[in-house]
Amino acid sequence: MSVRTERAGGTRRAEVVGRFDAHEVTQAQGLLRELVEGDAPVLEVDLSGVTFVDSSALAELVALRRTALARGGSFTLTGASEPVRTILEVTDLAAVLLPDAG
Amino acid sequence: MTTGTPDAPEIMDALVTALDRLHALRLLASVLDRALDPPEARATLLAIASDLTDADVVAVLGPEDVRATAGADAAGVVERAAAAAATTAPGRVAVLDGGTTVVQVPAEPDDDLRAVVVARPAGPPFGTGDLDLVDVVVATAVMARTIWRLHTTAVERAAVAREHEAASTVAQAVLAPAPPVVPGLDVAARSVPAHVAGGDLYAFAGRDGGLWFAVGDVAGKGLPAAVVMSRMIAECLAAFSSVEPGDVEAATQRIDRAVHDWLVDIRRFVTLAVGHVDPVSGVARVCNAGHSPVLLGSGAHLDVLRATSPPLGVLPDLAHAVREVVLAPGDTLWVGSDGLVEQEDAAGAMLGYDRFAALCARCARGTAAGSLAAVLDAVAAHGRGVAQSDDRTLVVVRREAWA
Repeated sequence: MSVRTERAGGTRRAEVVGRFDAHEVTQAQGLLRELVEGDAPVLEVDLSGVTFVDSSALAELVALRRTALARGGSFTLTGASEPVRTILEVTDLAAVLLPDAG
Repeated sequence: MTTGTPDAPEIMDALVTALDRLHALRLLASVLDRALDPPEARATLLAIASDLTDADVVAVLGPEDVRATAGADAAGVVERAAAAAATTAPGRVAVLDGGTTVVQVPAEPDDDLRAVVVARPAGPPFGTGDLDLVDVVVATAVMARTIWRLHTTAVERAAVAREHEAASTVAQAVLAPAPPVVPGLDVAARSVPAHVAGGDLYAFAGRDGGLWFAVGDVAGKGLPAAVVMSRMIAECLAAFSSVEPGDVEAATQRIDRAVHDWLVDIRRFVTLAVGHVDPVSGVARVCNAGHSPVLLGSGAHLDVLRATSPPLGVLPDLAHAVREVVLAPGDTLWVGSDGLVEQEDAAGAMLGYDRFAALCARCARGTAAGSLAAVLDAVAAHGRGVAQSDDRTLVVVRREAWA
């Protein structure tokens, strides 16, 4: 898995590519959590290159969203591929994490 | 006495020097005994290297460990040596200061060992024999570094292995109890932990003639997930014994309220299916907080009991909706964990929800224990030759055909 992050103005983007699972979450945690530091962080996470997510990765996304909202910012998940969408739906997390769902 | 031939005292001096060096070379081996304490090993190495080469200044560059006799300009020597080391190819030697400073870079330099420096600022310049000795010093430093690394890697591996073992022990200890005997129901449960236990859990209670069950999965792996899992089981058991019989909504609410803030604090969530089955009426009520797969099998037909809310630890104050179904005699509730459907085969293809459901339909006859074993065997066969990536947990609740 790889994570590419960029900051443009107030918006922070993270593009995750490959398998996003327990093992990879541990590696990427620091990088991702930096993105929701400060006041009103606007975070977009692009999962279009992700082939698989497990519950550890979802838990990290939920926690990032919570932190962003608690600091007055926002969290958007984009580009959920079919396998990712399936997992979001069976866990009923689509309504929480995807803007166009529910 | 003939001129040009070394006289006896000179030969004696040369012999003594050679024996001294041999002794010092032997001492170098003792550096390796101290390899597990790198600062001490380097101090020993510098002391021996300085004896061996009659140097006033010796240094290991990387940690910048320097040993110098009084009055020698160690700082200047080290500074020039560091500059030379930076431009010297791995495995090569740089000779500076008119031959009085030798800088040898190991074949694989790194931040712990960039170069070894010996210097005699007041002369005489080092000869070829001295260069051989510096070579031996560098080789010893490289060996000490290798031993240290092998050791630390082994220690880290052992620590990780111990943690995995502890996680498995917790899982086995809290999951071991067999499901309760509830007349009219045939119940089987098993969890096959992955090498790094994944936090799958189940809990049962037989109460007032009915069966309470909960099957869940803690996000994350290893010991932290195992700790969350054991607390979840305790909360489930407490809820089963404190609410009205069959009030699945109240039980789920109680568990959720008990763990929500804690799960948020530790950045985890738990998928959890909580249910109650009345063997007399066949009524099964299930609250499903983000858990899958949960299936109701009636003959060859299977209904998916989808999540009625996100996992616990995601949203506060969730209203937990209950799904009510009726088990006809012979019908089966299958509650598994994602480790079953996400198991990949040797070609990287996941078993998937559809194939898992078809498998349950095929294994719907006989005893619950027989069905459970058949499904787990088939999942294991799908994953043959591939490491088990997550726990595989399955609970089978079948209403007896005569009920």
